[in-house]
Amino acid sequence: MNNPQMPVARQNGLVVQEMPDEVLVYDVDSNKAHCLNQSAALVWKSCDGKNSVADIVREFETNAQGKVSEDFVWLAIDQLSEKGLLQAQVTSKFAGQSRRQVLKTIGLASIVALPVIASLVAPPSALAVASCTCAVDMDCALIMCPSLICSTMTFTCV
Amino acid sequence: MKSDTIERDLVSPEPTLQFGQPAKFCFKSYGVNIRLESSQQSLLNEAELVTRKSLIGRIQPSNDEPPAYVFRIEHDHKGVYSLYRNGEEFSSGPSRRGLFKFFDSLVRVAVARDAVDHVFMHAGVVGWKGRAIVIPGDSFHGKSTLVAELVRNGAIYYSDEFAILDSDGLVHPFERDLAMRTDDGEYTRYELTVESLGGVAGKTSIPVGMVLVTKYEPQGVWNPKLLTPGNGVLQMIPFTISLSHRPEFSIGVLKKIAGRAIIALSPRGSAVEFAKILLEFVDKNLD
Repeated sequence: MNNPQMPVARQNGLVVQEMPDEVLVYDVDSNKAHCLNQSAALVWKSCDGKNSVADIVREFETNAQGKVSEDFVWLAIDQLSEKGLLQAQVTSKFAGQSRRQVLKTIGLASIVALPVIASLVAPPSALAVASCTCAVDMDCALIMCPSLICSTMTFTCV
Repeated sequence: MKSDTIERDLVSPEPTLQFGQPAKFCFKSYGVNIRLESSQQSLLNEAELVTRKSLIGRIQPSNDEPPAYVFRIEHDHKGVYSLYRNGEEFSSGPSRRGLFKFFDSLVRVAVARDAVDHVFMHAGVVGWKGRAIVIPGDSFHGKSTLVAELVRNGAIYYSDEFAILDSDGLVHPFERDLAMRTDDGEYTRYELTVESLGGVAGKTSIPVGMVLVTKYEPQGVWNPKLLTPGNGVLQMIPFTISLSHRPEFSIGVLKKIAGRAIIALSPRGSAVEFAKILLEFVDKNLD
């Protein structure tokens, strides 16, 4: 098991696309896509299993040219762990605190943009979703979808 | 104006081909090899007609290459129509019309998912002053209605279903008739030709100028938030049909688009008013 003080960025099952100030990650296993801002991406790249959180702080400050705290790096690690982008999950440093409280505390002390990871789930099967679209239950029968109830939330036969 | 459809219901099963071998029709579309089969020639003929219309004639002979998909359609003595995909029964029921409607969607989405060298995104597309406005969206979220209004306002029609993107991120026309639904609560399907809207269809590939992520809301107000390229790609991913099959190629193409296009996120109101607002926005914000 990995030492959570030396987190390891997951590599298997991911498609990684570098953008100018962001990194886009598509998780083939979970069908989720993530957009890491520059701060989150810098922390992720430093998670090599050899760097401690203190080492990641130093690497970050060198690359981003701004002072950050260990809590700042932990904020990124917490999100990376939550999104399944580390090889092993870490226990949240901020357990019991709301994300809002944490952001407020770290954000006030930081001159660097806080680490943010935006995520979306891709449809599980384009073949199923795109074919069984409907407006009313009758559509599902008409197009012979395996399911006969039309969800008006997703406009698919469920 | 409703265009002709090739759906029809027959009252009795037609003669079965002799000697056990099903009739076949093999073709390739966007690099995807597909074989249609049936033991009844008339079912195969109709499947071929539906396919040609569904893929707007973009099919070529497959030269006996192994198919990625084999669709088989049968009609048994009890009057049940069955559709098989790669040997597994996929759907069955008493309606010939229903079966071919489903088959029409399936064959198009199969090509969209497996297309070689192209990425298919579920989106409406129009051309405006040499660049494409791409509107990703699921069915029944008003894509066709908005595309029709944009065409009425002078935009060039590219597609109301797919943005077909090549490896350079250029969008190609998929100019099938627009698939509309009545807004009387019955949601009856009908089709519109681009000519009936007073418009014309695009003939050449063009770069994407804007990606608009929007959804109709009865009280929706246009308040565009411009997205970063990374967040723009994130918004396009759920509509990218080839993503699960070819993730690296698909995301690479989306990245090219996001690097060049404006990507805006906003709700919208009625398509009639919004079409004009959108074209003005594009004029102001694209060089």
